[in-house]
Amino acid sequence: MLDVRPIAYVFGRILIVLAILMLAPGIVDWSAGDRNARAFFASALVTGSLGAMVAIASSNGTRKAFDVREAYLLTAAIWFGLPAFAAMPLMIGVPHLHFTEAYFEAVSGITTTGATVIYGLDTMPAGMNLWRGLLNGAGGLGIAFVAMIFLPVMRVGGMQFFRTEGFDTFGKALPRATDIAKQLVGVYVGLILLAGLSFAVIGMTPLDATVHAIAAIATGGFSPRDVSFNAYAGAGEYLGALFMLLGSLPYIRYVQLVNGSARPLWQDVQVRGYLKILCLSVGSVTLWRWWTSEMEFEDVFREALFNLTSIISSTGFFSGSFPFWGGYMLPVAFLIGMMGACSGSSAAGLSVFRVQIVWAALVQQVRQIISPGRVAPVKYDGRTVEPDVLDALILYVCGFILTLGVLTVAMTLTGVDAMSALFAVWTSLGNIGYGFGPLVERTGTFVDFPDAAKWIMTLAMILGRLGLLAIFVLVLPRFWRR
Amino acid sequence: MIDFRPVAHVIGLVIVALGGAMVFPMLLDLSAGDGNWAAFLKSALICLVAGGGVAVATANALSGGLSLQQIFLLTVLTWVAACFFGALPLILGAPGLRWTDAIFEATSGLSTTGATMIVGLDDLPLGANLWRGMLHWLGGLGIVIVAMLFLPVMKVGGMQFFRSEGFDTLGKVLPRALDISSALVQIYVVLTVTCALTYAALGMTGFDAVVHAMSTVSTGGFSTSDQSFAKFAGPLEYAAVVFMLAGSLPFIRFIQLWQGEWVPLWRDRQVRAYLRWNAYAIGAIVLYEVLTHDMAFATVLRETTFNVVSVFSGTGFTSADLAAWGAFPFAILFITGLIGGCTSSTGCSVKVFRYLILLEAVKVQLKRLYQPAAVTPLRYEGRVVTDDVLNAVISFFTLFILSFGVLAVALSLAGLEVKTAVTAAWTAIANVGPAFGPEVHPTGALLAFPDAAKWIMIVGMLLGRLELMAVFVILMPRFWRG
Repeated sequence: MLDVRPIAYVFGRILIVLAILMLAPGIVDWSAGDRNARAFFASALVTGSLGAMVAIASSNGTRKAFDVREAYLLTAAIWFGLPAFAAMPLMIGVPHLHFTEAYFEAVSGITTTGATVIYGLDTMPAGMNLWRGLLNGAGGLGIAFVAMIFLPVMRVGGMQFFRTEGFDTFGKALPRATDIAKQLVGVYVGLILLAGLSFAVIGMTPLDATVHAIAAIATGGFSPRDVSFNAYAGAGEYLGALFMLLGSLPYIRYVQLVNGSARPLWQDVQVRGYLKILCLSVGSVTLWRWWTSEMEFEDVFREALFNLTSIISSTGFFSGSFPFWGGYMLPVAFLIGMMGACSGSSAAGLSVFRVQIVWAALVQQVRQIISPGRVAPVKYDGRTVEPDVLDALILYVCGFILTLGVLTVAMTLTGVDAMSALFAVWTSLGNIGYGFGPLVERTGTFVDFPDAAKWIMTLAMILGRLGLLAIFVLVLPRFWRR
Repeated sequence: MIDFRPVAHVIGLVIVALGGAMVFPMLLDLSAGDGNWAAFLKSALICLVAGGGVAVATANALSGGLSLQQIFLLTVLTWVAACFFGALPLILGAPGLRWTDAIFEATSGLSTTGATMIVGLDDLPLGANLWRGMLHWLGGLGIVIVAMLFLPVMKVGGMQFFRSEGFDTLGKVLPRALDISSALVQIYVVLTVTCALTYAALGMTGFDAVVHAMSTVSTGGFSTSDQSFAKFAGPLEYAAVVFMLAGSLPFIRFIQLWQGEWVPLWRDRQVRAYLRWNAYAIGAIVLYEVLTHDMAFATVLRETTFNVVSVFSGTGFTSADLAAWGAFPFAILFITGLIGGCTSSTGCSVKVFRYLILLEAVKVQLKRLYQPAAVTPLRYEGRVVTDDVLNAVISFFTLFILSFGVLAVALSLAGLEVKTAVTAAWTAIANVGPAFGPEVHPTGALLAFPDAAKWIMIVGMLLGRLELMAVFVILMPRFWRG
């Protein structure tokens, strides 16, 4: 039998952190004299005391290192369990959501998806919007840790390729891990502060600036406004695009930058590929729209830049008439959304690095057909990609596509039309948060989806966030046998 | 430099044969007293002169075997040339199509897709409809021969797995190839004749029975009526189901059956999975329709069985308004179209075999996640699947999805609406037949598409029919060197 105490111990401590986090919006509401503060304090009390009890009860079973199975369980427990607690303020407090919607909203926050089921954000108490932003922030930071420390060891989706960059085994990891983790938090907070200040300078209210800054850097996408970035069209969109972009680059490169070496960031194959694809898609969509409509060039360019950056970085802010452009824009948005941004950031999707390696493998495959005798290894960034990494990675891509198909079918069963279903699964699995389709168009939110469809989206968000296999492996009976 | 002459010689002979085939519709029109016979005579003469000229001019270079490069060139160029010459009667004669439309129609015929450019099929001279059926029939025969003789040698998409069933090396191919080809032709003819007799017995006119039999067994989808199979609703639909299934089973099993061995067909894992998945899809849709609509069970069962098998096998007959079925059945149909029939049949798309391998690979991958040390070889029907087969299968799948995405983007750029673009890309690359959307004529004809879109679909149909890799290989500069 599996010893769950080490996992429970860490989980309990994370709950305590979550409870402390709840105090922040509580204090904001309380100082504004809003009775809604009680929702946060009550939730914090429940979460904190429960967390403390779990931590104390299992403290006799702690160990320094986790084995692979425990790493799987812990990540799954965090991403399934935390949202239940994070949803509490949303149920007790002002929007008075029922559990399905509150859990959806919390999962959407913690997975940095950014799809919302709340319509009427502008009239909510400030604390509630701050809480949504904080969920994005916590989720973004959390996944950056998991992606850097856990996934390479768990060998999910070819992430073992990055093992040497981070840490070899858990045993050796800890001393260096703490160092890097501290710097990571520093970089993350620094970026958020920079974004917040810049947003404030161009005239956002303090609340809007804070939430938008957190959501942009975490590539989350929660906005305190129903109209998202439309409230700050113009300079706000350019700045937003910049910070979403910064939030979707590999964090390890920032840590190296802080330590004085700019070259790794500059020469990163993934970053270059990412920027290239972004430029191509923004350029072509801009030209296409400018050609086929009456819009001014600057408007077209600004909206295309902002919205496509929002989609490719899996953030989910929207602005302008872009969601209604249709035509050529939609398939482009679909493809780049599925690809997503760089691995090692808070962004989701297949990630540029996987797409690049898969491409290299495909070219390799076609070459092999021409000259069967030659065996040339697939290379990435000058390094040979081992066959086991390659297998894991390509199967991850196939698994992603199969999951997308299966969940879309499941969602159409709940009565959602095919187009809305496809894009809803796309937006959840890729943690994007951007909505297309007839069901979304009325409000720009997912409030009109049936409950069953919301649960499918919730599942898809967690699947997409943890790289599919990390969850699928838990379903295998063999996993639980020793 | 590649020696083109043997390739050109074979293509010349194929064109002559194609011209010879035009005699049948000519005789039909002549006996019916329709003036359209002249078009077939003219086209046949052009084929004879052009094909014969090429064949004679290159006859001096005939050697024993073909090199790998020549086989690739032969496969691709034969299809391209045949599509061009097969279009001639449709331009010179009755429907009087424009170049683009005629080539589309011929490509759709020879690739056994079944999407049509013609509205008013019922009023067409008999010869023209017979020719459309014959294009299907010839295309189906051609692809079975290519799939059984060439693809395993070309190592396209993991087909080398079947090499031992066919032939080991090119040198030895020819004698057995002739044997197998003649057995194949006999089986194909017997199937078609049985199908036609069944249709006639169940009430089709002799002419309809022949044309529909040709397009059923080849899993094509052209009909002699604008209503497609809705005109023949009833028992005929079940008869068609049987023969569409027969057309999409591995023909090597029929050859074995011919020799008295029914066990291989019965035991074939691919056949079993294919039939099982068909049953699942039909069951799910019937259940959904019965629960949500108030329709007679017998009607629902018949329509569902017919249309699901039609899409799954890549045929493309319709007997009901599929778009009106609702989102869930539509999604199921869409996915069955992306699976397709069995390998070395006239069926199209990714093929059941590749999905079986893919699912096996995912299972092995999951096992590796928590048992990194265990080495589990991948097995299919008791045989170990080697790495190169696995890689080829996975690359094929990825490339297929990628090509599908790129086609959809290109089609939407050509001006189609998103839904139309996606379903048109689907129908083209998977050689299914129907497309859905506002630009599609109520009869299912695609003649209102912009010319650019038609050409993109022509490329897509050829790509899908020739298993992608065969075409992409030719585009690589390396292919032409050395």
